[in-house]
Amino acid sequence: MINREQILQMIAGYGANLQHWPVSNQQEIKEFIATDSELSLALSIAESDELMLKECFASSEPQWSAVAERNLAKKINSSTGKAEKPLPWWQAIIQRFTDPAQVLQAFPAVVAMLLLMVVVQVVYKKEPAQIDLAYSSEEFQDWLVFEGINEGVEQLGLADDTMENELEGFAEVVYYL
Amino acid sequence: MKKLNLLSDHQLIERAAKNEQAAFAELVQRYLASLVKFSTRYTLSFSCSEDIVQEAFLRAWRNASSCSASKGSVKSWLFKIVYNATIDFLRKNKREVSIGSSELDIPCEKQNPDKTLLQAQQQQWFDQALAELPERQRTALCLFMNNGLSVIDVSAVLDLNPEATSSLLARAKRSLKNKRQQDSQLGACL
Repeated sequence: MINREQILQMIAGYGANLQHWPVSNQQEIKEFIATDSELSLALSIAESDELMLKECFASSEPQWSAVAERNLAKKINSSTGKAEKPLPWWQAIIQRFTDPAQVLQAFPAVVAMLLLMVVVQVVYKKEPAQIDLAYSSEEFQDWLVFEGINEGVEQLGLADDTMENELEGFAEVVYYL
Repeated sequence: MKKLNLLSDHQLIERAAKNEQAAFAELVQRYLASLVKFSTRYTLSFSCSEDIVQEAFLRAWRNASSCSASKGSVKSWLFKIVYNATIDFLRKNKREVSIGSSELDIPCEKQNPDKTLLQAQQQQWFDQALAELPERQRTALCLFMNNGLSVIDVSAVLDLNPEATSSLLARAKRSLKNKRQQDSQLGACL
């Protein structure tokens, strides 16, 4: 519920025109003022003060010529015609990456990066496992005999021709042992 | 198609956001003079204010999509852009403005031969009284009384809440009234 003091403060702030007052309170205030002569008087004093102020403002307002107004309006309208509006962020990104000027500018850097990647790939390429082919299967057989493993291999029925190479043969031997 | 001059400010700015230049031109026509006059009260130079307002309208054109009905009226949005641009201008060119571009620029356009001596004195008193008000009170009062902005719109321009704006206006009016009473006792005003 609004009281008289609050309404007097509102008259001082919002002015005499009730339409400028907060919409939520308008009806309540109108009814209050209608029944209170002091508030009605305050409202009419505020009204006359505002009228006087408005006149003062109007008379002190700088007079700007209509020609200057037309000229400036033309200038503004022509400059807005030339001005480009900022694009939404996603359009700006697409435009940036499809703009030939931008792409050409970035081209050397992109090529240099690709070259660097190729060089890194070549230099640090993983070397395949080196199989030691220094020994023939005969030498390997001799080694097995020397080590006393050969008998076991023969007992298992593993023929020499099953050993395609050193590695396979050795793996089989280890497996069966 | 509806005539542009029948459209509301919000309808016009919506069209301007869609690159419709004619809609923006209508807004320019509606508010150009009041914005230039408002800015001139600070810069005291039409040529400076014309540049400021031109730049402000360009900014408004570029950012038309950011002006929505929920953020307040288009009028207050435009006044806010011009007010901020004017304050920036004054900060940057404080010295040049204070040197007296006012004397070069305004008086010749402001002079009105029909004015009586009394009216001229009254106007001089009012200008001085207004100049003595704190900057924000003066701006609030000018926007409210001279440019017809509502308290909500003034608060949008000054980045205040409506209650603070209302008390700012009340203080400004009270100061002017007190000064008028004091000076009338001395026989020096309205």
